[in-house]
Amino acid sequence: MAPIPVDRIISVSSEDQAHKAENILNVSDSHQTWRCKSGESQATVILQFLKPSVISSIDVGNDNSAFVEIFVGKSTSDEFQLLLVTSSLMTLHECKNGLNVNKVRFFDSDHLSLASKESWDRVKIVCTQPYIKHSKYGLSFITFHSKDIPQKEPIQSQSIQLGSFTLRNDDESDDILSAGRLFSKRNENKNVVRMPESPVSRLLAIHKKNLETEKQKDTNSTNINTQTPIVNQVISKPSKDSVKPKNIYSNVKKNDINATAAVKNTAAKKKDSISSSSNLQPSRKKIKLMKNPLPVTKPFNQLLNSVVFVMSGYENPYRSNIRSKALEMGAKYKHNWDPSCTHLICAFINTPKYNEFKIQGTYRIVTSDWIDKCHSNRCRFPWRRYALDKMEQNKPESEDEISAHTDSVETDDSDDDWNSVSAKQVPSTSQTNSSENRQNTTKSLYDLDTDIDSDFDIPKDILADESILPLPYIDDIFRDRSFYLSTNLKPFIRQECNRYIIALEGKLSEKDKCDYIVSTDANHLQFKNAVPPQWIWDCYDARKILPLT
Amino acid sequence: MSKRKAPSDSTNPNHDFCEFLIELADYEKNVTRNIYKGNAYRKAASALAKHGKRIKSGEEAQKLDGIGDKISKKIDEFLETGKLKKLDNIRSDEASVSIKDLSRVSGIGPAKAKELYDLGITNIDLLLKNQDKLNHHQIIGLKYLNDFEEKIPRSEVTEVEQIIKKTLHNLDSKYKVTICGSYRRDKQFSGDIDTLISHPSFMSKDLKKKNDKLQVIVDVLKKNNLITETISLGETKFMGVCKVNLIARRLDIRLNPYDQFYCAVLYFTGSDLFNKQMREHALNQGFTLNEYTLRPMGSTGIPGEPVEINSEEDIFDYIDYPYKKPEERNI
Repeated sequence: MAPIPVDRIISVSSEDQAHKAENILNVSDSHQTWRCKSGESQATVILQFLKPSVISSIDVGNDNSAFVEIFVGKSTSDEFQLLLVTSSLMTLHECKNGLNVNKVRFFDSDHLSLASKESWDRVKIVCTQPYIKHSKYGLSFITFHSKDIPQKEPIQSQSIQLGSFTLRNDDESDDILSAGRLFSKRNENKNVVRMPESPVSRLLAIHKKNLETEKQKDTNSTNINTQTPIVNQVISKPSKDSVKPKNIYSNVKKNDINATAAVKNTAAKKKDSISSSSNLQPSRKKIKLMKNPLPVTKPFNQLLNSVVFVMSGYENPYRSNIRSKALEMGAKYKHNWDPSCTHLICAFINTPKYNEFKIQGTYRIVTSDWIDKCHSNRCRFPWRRYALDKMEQNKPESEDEISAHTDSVETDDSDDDWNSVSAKQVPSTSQTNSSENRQNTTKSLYDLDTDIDSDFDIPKDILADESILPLPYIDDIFRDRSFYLSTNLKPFIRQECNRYIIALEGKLSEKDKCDYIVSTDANHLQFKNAVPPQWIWDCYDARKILPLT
Repeated sequence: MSKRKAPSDSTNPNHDFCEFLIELADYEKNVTRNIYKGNAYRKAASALAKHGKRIKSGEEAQKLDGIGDKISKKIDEFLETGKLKKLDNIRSDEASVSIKDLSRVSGIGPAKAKELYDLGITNIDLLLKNQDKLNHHQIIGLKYLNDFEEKIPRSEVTEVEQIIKKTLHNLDSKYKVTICGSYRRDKQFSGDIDTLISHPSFMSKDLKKKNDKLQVIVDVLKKNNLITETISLGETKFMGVCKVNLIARRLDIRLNPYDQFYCAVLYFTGSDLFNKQMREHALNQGFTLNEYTLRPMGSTGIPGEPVEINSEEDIFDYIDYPYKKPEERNI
């Protein structure tokens, strides 16, 4: 169920000054909504998809509309066909009492007309609200889904889930051969399990998100969604194309042109920073192994290739949204802090992960806006502009912007202040001169990726070659501890436990001599020293031996 | 429109006008097969019945809704001569007399009556000898012809209602039962007993599935000696005969999906003229109303998804129509 990327809004019958139509494409922020002007009998929006798609389901987030009706059409003709018959978004009772004005409804193929069998590239959305006179109404978001399975999440399709474990497919066995693969992969799989997938969980996630944002609003706490954009605007105003809605369409178009140019292999050296709407699906090209470990170009999917990040304080689906954007740009995701981490994407200060990063000395703590803006502008901005701490924001930026280009020569930057005292002396690069900088960089290779944060910060290109995968750092927390693996464990769990114990320097021993009995059997669990397999994973995550519960 | 609609009650001051108008209406409906003319007469009759004062001239009557030039002239003619030429012609016309007579039988409509008339069966006596021309429904209709023509007093409907409610409650306390028709509109007499039932486990999406709820109910009511004959029995509609005293009565039981219950109750409560008005109002408000659902009309005139209805009042609210209690729907 991949969301269908929307190219632009073709027309809108009416929109309120503060509630522009483009807000309906923004799923993540339920407070940005589209509303018509007061007293309209119906409100209509026409959207253009990036490419003709078969719509298999629709998520609609309401904002005060009583009914919604959806038509589909083709850009080659003006005719529209009915896709979704007029459907209630609010009951009469809710309209009259102003209740549940932001309900979300999910329409699957059962709700859609026969037109859902064909592919279309235009949709017309008609909202009405006959019950609240002079109201401004519209939608908070709308997402169309097609049945195509996204290629970028192959793990998902290959893995079988058993309880809270994800079973690896045999196809992947090649991967495991490289040392440490098991450990670096486990967290990834875990995340896949947590991704909201089914319509219901998707709705739940959206609902949860709404609740969360409302809660934050109520308590006036530092809500990242509402606060940071203002801060950012002050700091780097000229680059905020996406903040100015009027520019979106032209920029998206540019992006299109760019994409076609890439296909034709014309080495166009366009240097504009290109913004794409947040729903755009970037190219899902597989990262090919590069023979030269030092990249001479900087494609979009490698923009953040030196970034290893951890997330904190964001809730799904926004969380997975940001994470996938970062992954698309080549960043590497970690579940928890480890020495390879370079960035923390964090919603508020003083989260447990925030504190851990502070303690560990990883000070690059940014808001999700960093990922968002980098992604939408296809340009890597200096992280400090999006630092969570205001103190950090005021420090000079130590890195240049890097814009993405599919086929022009690009440079990598050093996202690094660990050892670059000189970098601090570089005056902060403003948006205006950075474009000049980029012009220069295309011609020279003078600022290639020469410095690396630490031993663990390996460029993505190298990581892509699994044969030279570096050994991840593994603690020896089980040193001098002995374990007994109960025979009632399922073979694959048993094997997994075995690997973890040995990797963490533990020993296996007899039942009566061991320190810990690993078992799922209730009888065993009565023993004082009995632990479930989960405890081992937990210890690994916590990097220490956890107390027995 | 049932033949057994209780005739307008004789206490109303214009009841003689009403009678001849209804006779004309039936003629138009059954013989000339012009339902629009028929409805026009019925509407006029109902306006006169509601007026409450004796009409003294056609001119006076013309002020009422539904009475125009032609009907007002007929009222004048009736006032002057005490009869109606058109009606006399009709009464003397053999075909129309026969068709009217034959269509007294439950299950025989104007088309069947015409067919029988063309076969030479011109009255009930001949019909009794030619039962092979009739279907099961019509045979039962013929068998109970006199019973079915008897008006059902309110108290008897209440009795039937109690029995059905008690029976269903014993089966499952979640059953909803409403007797609709003129009984619900607080009339003293009814033509038949129109029962609507519903159960929360039976929704419109379950219509495609097999369900035997109605069969079970009918079986139990047969055991209780309420139901004496079955005319037809499907998954959602039972037509048959019941008896609590001496006279056999026509009983319909409909099993409605829970989410369509109130639209059905509204529809079967009527009156049919009231329903017509209400549906017309719904259309003006951008809705389409039928016995199943209330649906908003889309921008291109395609009906939408049914709105959620939890009471009769909801339907009125949705189409912004002032709520009328059942007894106020006698138009």
